Amino acid sequence: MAAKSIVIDGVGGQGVRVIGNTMASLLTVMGYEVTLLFDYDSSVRGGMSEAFLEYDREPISNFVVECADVVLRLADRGPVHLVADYVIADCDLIKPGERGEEIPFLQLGVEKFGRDLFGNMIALGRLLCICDVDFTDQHLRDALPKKYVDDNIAAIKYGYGLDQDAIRAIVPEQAASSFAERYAERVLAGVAPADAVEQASART
Amino acid sequence: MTKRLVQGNEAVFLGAVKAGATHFAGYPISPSSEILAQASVYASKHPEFRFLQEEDEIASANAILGASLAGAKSFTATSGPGFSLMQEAIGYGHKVGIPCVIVNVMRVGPGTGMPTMPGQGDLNQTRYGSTGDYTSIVFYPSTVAECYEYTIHAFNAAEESRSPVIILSDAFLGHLNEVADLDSIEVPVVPRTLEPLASGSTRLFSGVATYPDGEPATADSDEYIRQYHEGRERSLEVAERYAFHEYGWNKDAETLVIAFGITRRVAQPLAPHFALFRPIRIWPTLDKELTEIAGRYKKIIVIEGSDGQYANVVERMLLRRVERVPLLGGRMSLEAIREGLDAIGMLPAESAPSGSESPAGSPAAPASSRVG
Repeated sequence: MAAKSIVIDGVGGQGVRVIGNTMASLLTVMGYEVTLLFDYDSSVRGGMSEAFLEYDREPISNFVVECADVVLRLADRGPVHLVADYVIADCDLIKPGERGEEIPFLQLGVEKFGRDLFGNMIALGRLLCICDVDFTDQHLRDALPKKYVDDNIAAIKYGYGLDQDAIRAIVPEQAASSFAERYAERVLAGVAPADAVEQASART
Repeated sequence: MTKRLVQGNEAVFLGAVKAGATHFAGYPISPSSEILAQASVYASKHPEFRFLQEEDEIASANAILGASLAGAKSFTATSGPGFSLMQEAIGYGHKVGIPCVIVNVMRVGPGTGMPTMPGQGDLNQTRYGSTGDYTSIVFYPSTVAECYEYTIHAFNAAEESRSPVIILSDAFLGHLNEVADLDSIEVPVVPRTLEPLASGSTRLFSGVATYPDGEPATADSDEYIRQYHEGRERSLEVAERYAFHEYGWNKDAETLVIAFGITRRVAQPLAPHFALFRPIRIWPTLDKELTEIAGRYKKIIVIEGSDGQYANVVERMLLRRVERVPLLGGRMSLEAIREGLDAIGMLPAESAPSGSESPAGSPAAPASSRVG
């Protein structure tokens, strides 16, 4: 899939900005024309937070995405009118009739890299894979903040390298957790993201 | 050439610096706060640039007037509720003849409204917000690169007209990150036109009507009218040099769409079906240009983020019926435009479904020409 229109759907504090900024910076480094618009509720934590990202080899006019090639859904607070060709979601967030996949990004961040924050980079890696973005390590180094750059590259590559067999192994069909939903509820209630991961994980 | 991701609010700030601004005073308010933040950071590294976070927008507007009187190119940035608070100072700036720039990143009002959602409902306030008669010069860009470019023009127009000039933006344009090469944009900078106070010549800065020698003229209608016309003619003459607009899309269509700022960007997929007129200089209205262009079309539609503020202006200007597609509540989307066109029976049957838009310049989107 050569995606051009991406929507990242989450709640405030979940990492929508980090993922959006990083992907937009990467695509800019790669020479694409890029537009990135953050649309968010004025409630800082817990309100809807969306990133509309488009990229192309030609200048982009309409930057408000209404039909997305790919939606990365970390929570379901997005525009009601949004249509998605493919959805990458944390667990239990794919809606009936949608084409997509569920991956427990935040849990993987904790399990594989020791912090929930790396779940965002794993999700970004998966998003880049689904979008067929052909980047190099140098592109990533040029796009990422210097702090934790090696860890972030490792997490992005881990997400990029996930295949369907690996995803099935991570997410047994009969045990698709409601982790992301519970995580979003905690964040909405004002719990700090790191604590929200712990509390949401405790009930799985 | 350095292409990089730039945010609309950041581009406004960089344009101000390029224009020679050395003083910013402001009070944070969504969706304009990034301009204040940029100014704060910049001032910490450039001592010649003064930054004041004020206690409110009334103080902010008066502070930039004072800074301008003292010799600095000055500016502030705000949004709807803050812009309302600035109106008295704006009127004072027009009365005394003080060049400065005010950026209004529009959100959905009235009141606190929807702080992070885009609106275009402040158009009338930029023209008629303060008391009395005065002539506003107002620009509204629609790309990040234009935010930079027209901010420089705004400072130039402020110097030449010796009045507060307003840059309009909106929550989406202000928060849009877009690849731009700002270094490639070349706009000549108009130097400071007024000497600072206490530099030798006598200058009056009372908001009261006075004669040139400083004596009160508070009951002299003739003197008021003379000064009013002098200021008006100066502003109109300056505005004439900044008659920025875009005319394009399908010029052979039967219907002319008028859209500006964010709505022009969102409406781009309609390019094969309509002609486009985009006023960049919102005030004074582009009467000559729009009258000439509108005469070629059977129908006119204004697509805007208010309930017909600009449509009413166009209708009065052209003395003919104008159709309206209001995008309210921050719902700036092609789908909302299509619904609006459908409601007035003007949705092209074969128009592309939402999301399948073509970028500007592609065969499906006839190129526009920008004037200015």
